[in-house]
Amino acid sequence: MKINEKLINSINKLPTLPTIFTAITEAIEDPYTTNTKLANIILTDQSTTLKILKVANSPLYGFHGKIDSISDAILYIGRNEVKDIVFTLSVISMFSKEIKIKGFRPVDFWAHSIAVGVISRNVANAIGEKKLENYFLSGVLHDIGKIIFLEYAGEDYKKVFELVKEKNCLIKEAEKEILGITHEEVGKLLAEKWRIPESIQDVILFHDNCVKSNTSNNNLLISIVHLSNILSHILELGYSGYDIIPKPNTLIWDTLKIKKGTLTELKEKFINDYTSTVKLIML
Amino acid sequence: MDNFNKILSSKINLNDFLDIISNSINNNEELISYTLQKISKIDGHVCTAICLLNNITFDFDIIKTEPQSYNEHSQQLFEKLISNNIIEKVFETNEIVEWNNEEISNIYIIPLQNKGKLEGLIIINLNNNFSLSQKIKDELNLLIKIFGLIYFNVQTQNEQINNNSNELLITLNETVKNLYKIFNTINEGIVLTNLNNIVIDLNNAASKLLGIPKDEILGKDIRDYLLFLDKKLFKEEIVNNEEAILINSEGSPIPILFHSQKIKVDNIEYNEITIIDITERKLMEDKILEAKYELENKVKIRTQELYALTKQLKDAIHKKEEAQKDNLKLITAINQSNSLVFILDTNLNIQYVNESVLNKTNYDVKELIGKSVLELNCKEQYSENILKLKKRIIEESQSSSELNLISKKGKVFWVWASFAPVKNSEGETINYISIQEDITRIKEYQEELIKAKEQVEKSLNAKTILLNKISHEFRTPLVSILGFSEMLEYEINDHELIEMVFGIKEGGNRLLTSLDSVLLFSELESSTVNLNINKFNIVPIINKIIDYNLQKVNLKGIRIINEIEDEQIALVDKDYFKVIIHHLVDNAIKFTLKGEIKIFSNIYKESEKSFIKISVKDTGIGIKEEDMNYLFDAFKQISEGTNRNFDGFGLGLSLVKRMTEMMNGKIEVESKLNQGSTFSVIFETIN
Repeated sequence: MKINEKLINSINKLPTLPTIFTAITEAIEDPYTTNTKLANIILTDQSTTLKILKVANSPLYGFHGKIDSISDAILYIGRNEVKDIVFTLSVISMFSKEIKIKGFRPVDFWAHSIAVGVISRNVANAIGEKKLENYFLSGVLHDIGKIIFLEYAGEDYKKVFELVKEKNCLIKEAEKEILGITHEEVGKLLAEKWRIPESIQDVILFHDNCVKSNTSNNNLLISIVHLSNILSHILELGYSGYDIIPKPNTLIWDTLKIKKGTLTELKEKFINDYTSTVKLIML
Repeated sequence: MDNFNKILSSKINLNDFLDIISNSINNNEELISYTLQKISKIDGHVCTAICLLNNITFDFDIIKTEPQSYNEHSQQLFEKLISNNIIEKVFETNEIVEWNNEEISNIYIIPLQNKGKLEGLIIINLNNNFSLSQKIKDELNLLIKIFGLIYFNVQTQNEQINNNSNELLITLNETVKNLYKIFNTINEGIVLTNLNNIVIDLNNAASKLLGIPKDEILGKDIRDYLLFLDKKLFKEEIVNNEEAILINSEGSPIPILFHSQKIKVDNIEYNEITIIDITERKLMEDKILEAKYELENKVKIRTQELYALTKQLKDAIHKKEEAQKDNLKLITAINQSNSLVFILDTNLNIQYVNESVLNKTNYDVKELIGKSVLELNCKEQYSENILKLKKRIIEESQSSSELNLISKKGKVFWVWASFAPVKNSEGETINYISIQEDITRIKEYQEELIKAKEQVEKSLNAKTILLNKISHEFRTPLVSILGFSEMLEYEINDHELIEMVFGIKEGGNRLLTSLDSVLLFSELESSTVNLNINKFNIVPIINKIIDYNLQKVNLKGIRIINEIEDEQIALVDKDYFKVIIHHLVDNAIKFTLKGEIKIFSNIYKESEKSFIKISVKDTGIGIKEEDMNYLFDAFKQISEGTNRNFDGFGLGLSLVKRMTEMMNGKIEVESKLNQGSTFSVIFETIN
């Protein structure tokens, strides 16, 4: 239980998100903010500006280099998507990339997270979902708890991995046993602290087994992240610290109503989008 | 050559030898085998051994025996030969040495010499029943000599080759060392792995890039140092400069160019991987990208600015065009105007004239520009009037004057010229504009009118004179008529006659009154009247007039009431005042058929002056409202027309009004048709 408390403490001590992100969020929440004003806020951070433009022009969003200004980016991909990109960049830069557990590099973890984000967005698009915002961010954040464990409970987290190998059990079972709290729960705590939308909080908490969700809309988001997580394991995109490929919950097929062959068709796009997005975000 | 010929002639056939030579030019092993085989063909041959001097032990080593199974036998035989000092004999001769005893027989030893030095032995053992003929011995000798020649030549060659290759090896070693140095000093990381991706070797650059010592990397899977996204990198035969991500010891991702190809060393396949750090390149790319975005934004902003400017420009052009159109309209209007339009500089010199000016003056534009506008005047330019006008134009904001202009052809015409300054935004006069209307026609009319007026005045004067004369001529006899009729009135008593005389007198009086009126009128018309206005008590005059009219009133059966107090002063001319009151009373009596006539006065103050108002009120026929305006017109009776019930010229009220006004008085009328009228005259008085 001690570790548990320590972790929760560390979450509370976790630095707030960078000012640029806070500024953007506040600006977006203010209904009187014009796109020009929002663009000017983003423009104060040069590296963020460039990355947003790069991501906006990447195959993931499909504008192929047509967006050449932040105001264009806001106009074409939307305020929330721009915010999500900034969020992703901010979160990744917040955590250390130091390798604390052999065989589980933070970089691989982020690569996996980005893969889930990329695939989620693509799957949502493929099944005809119109509102595509939050899919990418949900994917990126779905396993956020693990990085907290890595950062704040490195040595103990090593034991978790050892236990997983030893007992061949689920990672969260080992987490519960050694840390007293699962990465899903920790992730949810962090998400609450960061005031991330509830739908994404649900993704963090439920993406693994895909049970329980309040609204049908949320259900779709959770199901897609659940599936994307598995797909990224199958395609070996990044590494989540867990070698066993989980089986998808059969309930999701009813929710997603995904056409046969769609995923196979998309495989190349998943990989290409993933490769380009990882390069853009991680480098 | 000699030897060769011998070979040719020998029993050992040519082909065999050619075989030997061709086959053994470079290969001593084969030469030995062949030679031994040839020897073994000798009749009764048991075995042959070739021994060669060992340069180190200085012993003879058996190199080969024929048949091979006799190797041991040959060894024993050779040891027996040594122990029996047979070999020593060979050193002393260069011929074949034969040896036979009870134990060993039929042994032939052929020395093998090289450059006169014994280098080897060929030991041949034959069956006891056989021996070598001299001929065969010679042939053998020859064969061995050829063998020796070829053998030692090849050996020397080989030795030389060996020496050379040693040197080569050393050079090669050094080259390899240098290459390795280079391998370690180049900036590109190079990693050699086996086909299972295990690192076998890497250069310094690679280890530096990873931030891990070389020893720690050796034996590891190269994939441990790359991001898993690069899985396909290990599946292809050749990966040509793919962008990939390397994870260094700190876990940080580093952008790299990944180049990999399979190489074969000693039949073993390896992966040769080149890793190039492209962080700098990425940064440059980012900078370029940033610059590009910046540029594009600038272009966008500039485009917008340009667009706005273009729009402004267009608007401005449009406005200007409109203004020009307006100007054109204005200019056209001015140019085609019938008025003469001049634009002048501040000295009133002409800068612009419109067509009308040119048409009127017959001058050319060139002749007019720069000329003073006043020069066109037909009077002298510097005449007093013109100078005054010039002064007025410059000093006053607007001025106008009649001018008499003269054209180039000498035609004189009148204009009404108005001058106005044209001011700039600071209020300074920069030009004058003069618009001149041709008023020659008007002027002509005016002159005609004046002439006509003068004529009328003349004729009026004549009329007055005529009237004066006429009235004078009338008056004289009339006075005598009146005088005589009055005298007659007193002389006769017959009522009928008196009546008649009264009629004459009455008619005469009326004629006289009328005549007086006409005379008075003409006097007033000719405006030669001299008034004598003084403080004057008006009451006696009024009383006298009433008395004078009493008889008439009584005859008509109406009453006349005088309400005026004893003394009333007015500033009037006594004579004219008398006429006025007389006329008013006479009028009242004339138009009143029944009722009464009342005369009264009142005094009032107005702006510190006192006035007296004398009114004559009757109960007569009254005046229609619409007729009031004609009331004071001369020779007009309101009751004019066929229903003229009242006598007189109608001069009365007109005269009254004129006279009153001449004495600074006023006349007022109040009247209602069929109810009566009140005529009042107002004069100044003294308190």
